[in-house]
Amino acid sequence: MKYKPTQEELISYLYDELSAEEMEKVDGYLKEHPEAKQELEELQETRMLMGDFEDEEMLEPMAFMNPTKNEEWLYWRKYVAIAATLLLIITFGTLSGFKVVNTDQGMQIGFGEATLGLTEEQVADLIYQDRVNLLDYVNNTLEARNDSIDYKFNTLQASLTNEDLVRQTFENEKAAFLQEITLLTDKLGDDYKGILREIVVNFSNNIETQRIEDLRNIQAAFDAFENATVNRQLDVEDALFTLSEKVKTIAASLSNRN
Amino acid sequence: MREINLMPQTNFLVRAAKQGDVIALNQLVKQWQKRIYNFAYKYFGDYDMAMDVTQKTFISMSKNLGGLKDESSFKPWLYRIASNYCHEEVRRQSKRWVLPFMKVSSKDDQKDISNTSSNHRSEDPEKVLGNEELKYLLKKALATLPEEQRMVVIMKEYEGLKIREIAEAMDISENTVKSRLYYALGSLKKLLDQWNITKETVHYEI
Repeated sequence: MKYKPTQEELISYLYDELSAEEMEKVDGYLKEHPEAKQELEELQETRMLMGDFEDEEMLEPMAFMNPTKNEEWLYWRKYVAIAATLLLIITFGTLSGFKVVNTDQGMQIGFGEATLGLTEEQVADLIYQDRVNLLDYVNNTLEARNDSIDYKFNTLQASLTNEDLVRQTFENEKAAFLQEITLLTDKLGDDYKGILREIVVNFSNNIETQRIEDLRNIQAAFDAFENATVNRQLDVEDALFTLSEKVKTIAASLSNRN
Repeated sequence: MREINLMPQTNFLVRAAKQGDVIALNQLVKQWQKRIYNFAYKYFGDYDMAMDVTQKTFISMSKNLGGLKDESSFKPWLYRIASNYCHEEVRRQSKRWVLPFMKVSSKDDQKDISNTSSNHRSEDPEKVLGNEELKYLLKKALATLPEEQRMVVIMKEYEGLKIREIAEAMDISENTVKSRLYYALGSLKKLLDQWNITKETVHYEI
């Protein structure tokens, strides 16, 4: 069977990507088939022509990443930061006298010299003492209040039993009240009469003017009506006159024709 | 082709960069940025998009370099990242429906090209195409290829990746790479013939 290279093999041949052995085979075939050779040469020419599409220069080359010179530092930075923070905490702790003490009664944290707190019994005593004090105080205050209330009550009762005083006060109050009432009624009486009179006068005046106005209006309406009637009559007369004129003309023309 | 042995110390740099050497990483970026930029530029034909993809590619590279197992496959690995970002960019553009506009404008451009080139021919058929003009036309020719063919052609012709490396970068079989190359070259040849770009009209100065 005769050898015929495939399209793919021809392309590989064109790009010089065949093994020496295969290359020879294709070469042999091309020698015998000038038309295939011709085609390949044409493709080769196309490749050469297309090769004239030359590279463009980049107008602005890409920015480079700056090499970080102190990479060691970058690596250690984290640990240095932690160490610095610890140092800061220790310094401030020392300066402020921060102390943590562990005793039988538990852990004690504080600024400055740690002082022991009170024992349970002491605290209980303190509370008891405080309670007693408070109770005494409350008792004393209550007694004082009682006394003062009693005294005030007594005074009040004494003043109530004094009848004369009560009556006098009552009379005084009554007199003042009556006087006030009288004053008020006088004032009211005067004002009321004046206002009423004024209202009546105003009312009658208004009625009067209203009546005159109405009469005038009626008069005007009658005048208008009269005028209108007269005009109407004149119009009718005019119309009658014109009609008679026309009738005359027609009668004349009719008689002429006859 | 041109770039195969451009970076002999790449493996060494990759190894160093993987271990966190910032200078090596920078060196890698410096060495490869022009390649990736040109790769994306040829793919999009657009400066901003190419720049965008280049930046993303290198950011991703520096993030994920540690995950690269074999230093020798750095090149296909890098191009894989870049091509992924290219695809993503295209998807984003099409979602943003900017692409239809671009397509319209590129159609107009196409008309312009055919007009200008035909004008040239009628004036002076022997006239040699200017460098800039040729570059413009070649860019347009590349842009006519379907995306997957364009990617393969760029990787092969301009970036000098081996067929095996392209297959690795694009996650396709070597045969697929070859057939894409074959069809792409065929379409390009047709287009260049149509625009009358031949080795006779292209002036090669020595």
